[in-house]
Amino acid sequence: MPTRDEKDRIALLQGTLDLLILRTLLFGRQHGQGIARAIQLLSGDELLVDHGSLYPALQRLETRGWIRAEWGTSDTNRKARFYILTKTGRKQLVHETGQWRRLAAAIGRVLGPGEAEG
Amino acid sequence: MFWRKRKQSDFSDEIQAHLALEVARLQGEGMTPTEAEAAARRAFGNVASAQEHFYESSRWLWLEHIKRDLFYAVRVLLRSPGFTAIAITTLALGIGATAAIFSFVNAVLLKPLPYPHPEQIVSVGEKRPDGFSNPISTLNFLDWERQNRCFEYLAALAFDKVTLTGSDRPQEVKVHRVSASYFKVLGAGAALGRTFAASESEPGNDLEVVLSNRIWRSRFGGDSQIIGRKIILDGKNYTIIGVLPANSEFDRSWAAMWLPLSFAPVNMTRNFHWLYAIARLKAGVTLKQARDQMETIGAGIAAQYPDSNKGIGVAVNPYIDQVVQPELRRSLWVLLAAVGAVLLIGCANLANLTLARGTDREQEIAIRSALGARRLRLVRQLLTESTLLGILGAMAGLALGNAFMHGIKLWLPPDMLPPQANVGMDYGVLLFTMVIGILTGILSGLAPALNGTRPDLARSLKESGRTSAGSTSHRMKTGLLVAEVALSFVLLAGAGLLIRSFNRLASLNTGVDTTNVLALDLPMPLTEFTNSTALTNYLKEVTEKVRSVPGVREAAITNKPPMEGVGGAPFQIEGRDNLPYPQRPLCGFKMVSPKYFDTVGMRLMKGRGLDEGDVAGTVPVTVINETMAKTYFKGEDPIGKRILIRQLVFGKAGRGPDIAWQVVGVVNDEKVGGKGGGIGLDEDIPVVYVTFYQNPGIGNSLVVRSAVNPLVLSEAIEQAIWQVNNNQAVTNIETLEEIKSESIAPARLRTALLAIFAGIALLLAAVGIYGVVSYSVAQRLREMAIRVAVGASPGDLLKLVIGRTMLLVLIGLALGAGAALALTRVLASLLYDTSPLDRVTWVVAGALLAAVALLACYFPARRVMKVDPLTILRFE
Repeated sequence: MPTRDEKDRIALLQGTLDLLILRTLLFGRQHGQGIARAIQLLSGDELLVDHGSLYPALQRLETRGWIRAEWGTSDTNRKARFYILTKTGRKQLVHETGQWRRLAAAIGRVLGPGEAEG
Repeated sequence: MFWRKRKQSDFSDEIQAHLALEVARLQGEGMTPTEAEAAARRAFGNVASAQEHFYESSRWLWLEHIKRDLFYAVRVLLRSPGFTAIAITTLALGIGATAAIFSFVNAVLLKPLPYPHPEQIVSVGEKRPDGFSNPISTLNFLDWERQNRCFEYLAALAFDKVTLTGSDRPQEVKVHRVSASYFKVLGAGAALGRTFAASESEPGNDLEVVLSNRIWRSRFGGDSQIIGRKIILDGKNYTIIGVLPANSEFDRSWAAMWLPLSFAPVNMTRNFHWLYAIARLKAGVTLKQARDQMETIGAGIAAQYPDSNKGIGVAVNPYIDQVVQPELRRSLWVLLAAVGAVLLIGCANLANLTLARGTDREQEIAIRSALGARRLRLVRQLLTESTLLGILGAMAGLALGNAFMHGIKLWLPPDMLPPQANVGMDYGVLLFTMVIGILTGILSGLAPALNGTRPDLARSLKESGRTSAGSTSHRMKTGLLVAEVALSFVLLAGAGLLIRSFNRLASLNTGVDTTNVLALDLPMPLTEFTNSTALTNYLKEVTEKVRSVPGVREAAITNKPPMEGVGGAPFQIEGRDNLPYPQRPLCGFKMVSPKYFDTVGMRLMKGRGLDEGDVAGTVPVTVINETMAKTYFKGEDPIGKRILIRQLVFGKAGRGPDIAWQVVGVVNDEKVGGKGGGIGLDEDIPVVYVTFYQNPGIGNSLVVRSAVNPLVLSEAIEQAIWQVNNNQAVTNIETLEEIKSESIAPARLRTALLAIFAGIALLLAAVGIYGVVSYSVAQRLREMAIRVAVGASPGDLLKLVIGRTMLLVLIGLALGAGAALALTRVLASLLYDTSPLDRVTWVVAGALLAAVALLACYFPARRVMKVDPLTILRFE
């Protein structure tokens, strides 16, 4: 297991990584490193993507047909494998986003106002 | 076919690209290339691990794993040939025995009868008021045949023996006389020629014969031109019209030939019960509907002919219930359970062995796990090893089981298995054996695998297996030991009960003196003797001639030798309340010559025996047996009383008016059942004896007492008989000892098999205890050394080790006794004069097991007495 230096960062919930990857790809094609970076930036440095789980997740999403991949050249003119959101992936994103919102709202209600900040 | 979606190299490229991108970014933020590289790698984490994860998400990975595990397993097993040999032998023994017994269970109990739609075939019989099934009288059968609407075909069958003459010596042939529709009920056809057509059931039109394949080959040389040839049976010309298929149930049948069953006018009676019937249900008719309909028909006949049929119903049962008798069914299941237990004990032994090895392999496993192998993979690896052992064991077991099966078949008494059962190693048995092998492998490997991969590798690595094994492993080993002892006890107790019962059966008093008595059958066709006087004179002449053979002491005629069955007769004691005929009690009815009692060694208890003067035309007299006297003449003197039994008319399948047989004497009980007649060797039934002069019939036997071993005389006896009539077939020449031995053959077989299995179980348990104790002694040598160092004597250590093991053995015995209490009950119906809770057997079984266990733990435990604390502790 890779060791995690930044202990104060929030560990990703099982399954949420898939959602975040799909969301990131909504902006257009991106390679693995770019996805990890994007999630970290978008979360305001709160979320750290464990690369050990990023690639298996990409592999899983690809197998399910929600994303597809192609080799291309990055902005810095390097060869990289780019991931693109597919049509079914887009549908899945909508679906999972809805699910997540409901879950978050529900948990929020249970925890009560203010305390959710913890 | 699925291919792995991406190549591994493609993935490596991707990771390299990722790292390159990250390095570029970090350099952009101002790091030096070296710093950036290091940071990127740190951020990414374990590259190898990511690759491993990627690799494992591939679909075909499991196949590759299995392949690798298998290669690894083969290497491991080859590395320790001793362990592998012991493991495979243990498994092969258990699996082989199981496969052999299962081949019988499969053929007799599991496979459907070898006919099309066997579930539609039923047996049909008369149901007596006491609930027992009875053979059918001719007119009842014909009425059923005419009135029923539920059977597609209804066929009758009668047992008979005919004499084949014309070439060689006269030969007795067992035949089934069957209705023309008999083969249609079964749905069986001839391999050569044809079976019977409907017209052949008419008298005069019935001189045709169908041969079994076996007699066609043995007696007629497998002549393919045989159809249409004539043979002489009972002096009449029969035409061969068909030969039945080879290796079919007809080759294993009691009968060797099938003749048409036709009813002569003299057979048209309602009070002579001699037919058996089978039928095929019409499509869509259920067993219950058939039962209801036949019950109605039976009631109608009973109302119309109360004299013969009052209270007589019709029994309709699935044919399979008649083919497979309950005793056989029970014996087979008991034996299968027994070999199953042996196999389980073998499993436990193997599990123990693997556990012990597991401790030795702890380091190997710890290292693999430190290198990143996850627990599931390790468990899978270990299970692959034990499954491989299971499969190898199953393959060896199949070879062994095949040999076992053939051995048992050789040993099998004739007619013990139904002819329909074709015992062999077929696909069902093969599949069962392989599945058992794999399950056995998994079962014996699961506990050690789970135990051996416990995630506390740090300790294992540090301590390098020097201290005692973990407590889980130890608990598991003691548990397995207790289970082995318990299972062994159940088997030993069961085998002990059967042995005790068998010994009692074998030494039971048959009521006759079986030494130096020969019995032989004298089949004769009715056609040769048109009247009874000719028959009695002939038999008298034969008896006299045999008596004159040197070495013969006495000779007598009987319709059945001892233990070979008896005919039944409904009787009424004169002067008692008159019962309707069908409600009369039954007694055995034997027609003998007056010297019969002397010849077989029966004692006269009261009155006189039968006499040469008791001939046709004088007062009919009878000698009754003790059971008859005790049951029906309780507290009174039977001598002078008269017993009414309807006359068996010579040459006719029917009974005449009552004859009043006057009781002149009482003899001791002879065992009339055992080998034949559906009566057990241990049963005493009421029997009346009359002279064959006063009640002649065909189908007699000769019993001969000699001064020497009677088998030596058999040739001379045959010659003597042929001097009187060289067309007389002489068959079934056996001593009474042989007949008795054959009557207990099924009990002997199942007792021997169970004893063998119990023996194997005991041996395996002993090996298991030996293994556990020697292993634990080896593990505890350090502890023992310390004990010696602080003053324990070698004897103390011995007591410590043995005491602990024997405590476990006692717990196992107690558990085994509890299980046996419940399980030996199923043996009850197989036991003769022995209670399933027989105390002596239980104590002996327990003591034997305890003694063997003590020996098995004494030898390895002795090692602790040689403990030298200095040598052992210095290694620290």
